[in-house]
Amino acid sequence: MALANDTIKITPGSGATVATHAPGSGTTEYQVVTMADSTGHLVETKPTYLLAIPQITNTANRFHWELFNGSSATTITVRAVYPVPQTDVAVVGAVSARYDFYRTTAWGSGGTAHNFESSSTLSANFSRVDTNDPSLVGSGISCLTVLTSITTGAWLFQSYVFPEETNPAAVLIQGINLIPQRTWGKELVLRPSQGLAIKQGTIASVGATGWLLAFTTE
Amino acid sequence: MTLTNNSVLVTPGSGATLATNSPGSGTTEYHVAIPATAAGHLAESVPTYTVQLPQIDGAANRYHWELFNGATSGLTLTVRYVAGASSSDTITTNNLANRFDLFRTTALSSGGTAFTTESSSTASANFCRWDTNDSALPSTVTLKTVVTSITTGAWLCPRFVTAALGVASRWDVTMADRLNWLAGEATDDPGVEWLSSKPFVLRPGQGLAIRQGTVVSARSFVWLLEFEAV
Repeated sequence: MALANDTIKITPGSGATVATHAPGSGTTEYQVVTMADSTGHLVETKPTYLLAIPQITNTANRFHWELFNGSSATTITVRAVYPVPQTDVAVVGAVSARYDFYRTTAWGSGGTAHNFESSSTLSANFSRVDTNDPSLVGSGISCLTVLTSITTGAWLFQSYVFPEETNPAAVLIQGINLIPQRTWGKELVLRPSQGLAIKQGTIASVGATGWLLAFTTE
Repeated sequence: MTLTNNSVLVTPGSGATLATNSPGSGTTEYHVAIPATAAGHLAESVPTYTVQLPQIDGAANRYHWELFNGATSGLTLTVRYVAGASSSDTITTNNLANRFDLFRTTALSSGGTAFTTESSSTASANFCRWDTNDSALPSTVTLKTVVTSITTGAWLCPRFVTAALGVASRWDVTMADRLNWLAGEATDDPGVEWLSSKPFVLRPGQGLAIRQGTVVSARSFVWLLEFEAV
C-alpha cells in the first residue's frame, strides 16, 4: 500500500496557486482536484493496451494462451479479461468449457506468436488505445496461443464459458469482465517474469473462444 | 467543457470562501472538492457526442461504418462507448450471431453514405450533442456507413452480435444491445468513478471502423457510439 509521502506548507500571503472553481453566482470557491492512483499516475493517463486473441478451438486440457511479461522493469496491470465465444458457427453441445487461470513464472513452451498493431485477425494482436503511448515492440511483453506447456505459479481463478450459439449466455459473456471488479483493492499485477495463462479443464466442450484483454503498464 | 476558472490564496483571517460540508452534529468541516480529468476538465463538463446509426443490412465482409477524426479537426476524440444490436423488430430464427471486427484506421475510407448532424431523420447516421450548449463538431469529424474500403491500422477486437428473434430463449437479442464493445476496464466496475487505464483515443488522422465477418444473417444491425471531443 502507499500513503501520502509529501506535504505542502501554507505560507500566508504567498505560495503556490491552488485550482478552484466558482460555479453559479461565484461566491464560493470549490477546490478542483485531479485523482491519481497509488503510483501517482493521474486518472486515465497510464499507457493502456488491448490484446485481442482470435478464436481458439476448445480442447480438453489445452493451454489456450499466455500473456507474459518478459520485460526487466515494466509492471503490467491486467484490468479486463473478456471471453468472446465464436457464436457465428453452429455447434452442438450442452456443456461449458472450463478455464483455469494461472499466474506463470517462466515463458511457456510451444505456441503461436503474437502480432503488434497488425490488421490481421488471425493471430493474437497487441494494440495501443492511444497511439501517443509507447509501442510494445521490443518490450519483452508477449502472447503465445495454444502452448505446449506453461510454468504454473498460483492458480488464480476459474471461469466457465458456454460456447453454444443458441444460448444467450454465449453472447452476453462478451460483456463480463472475468477479473473480479470492486471499488478499491488492487487489480491483477504481472511483475517482470510473470505471466497470465489459461488452461482448459478436462471437458472438451465444443466450439471456440476468443478473448479480449485490457492492461496498463508502468 | 470547463477548466478551472479561479484560484485562491490562503490568507489567515480573510480571503475567498471555500466550500465545505458539515455532516452530522456539524462540529467538523469537510472540504468539498470538484474532481477533474488529468487535463484539468471538470467532471462531466467535456463536450460529449453520440452517433446513432440506422439499420444496415448484414453482408459478408461489409464495412458497416467508419468514424473518422480528420487530420485538420484540431480535436482529440475519446471514444467511450460502442454498442451494436440487431434489428429485433423483425422475425428470424437464425441462431447464428454475426461477427464484427473493430479496427483503428489511418486514413479516411472510400465510398460510403454520409452522415447528418442533429437531424430528425432516422435514415442516416446522425451526430448529436448531449448538451446543445456545446460546440457543433467540425465537418472533418465524419461517420460514413457502408464504406467501400478502409485503411486498416491495428485490429482491436472481435465481437459477436446476436441476430435471432423468434426463438423463445433468445432474450439476449435485446439484453446485449447496450453492452459496450470498447469498454476495456470499465464495463462492470461497480462504483468506480475514475480509472487508471486510458479510454480509446482517436488522434487527428485516425478512425474507428467495423467490418462484418463471413457469416451473414437475414438481419440488419444498428450501432450507437458516444465520444468526447477536446
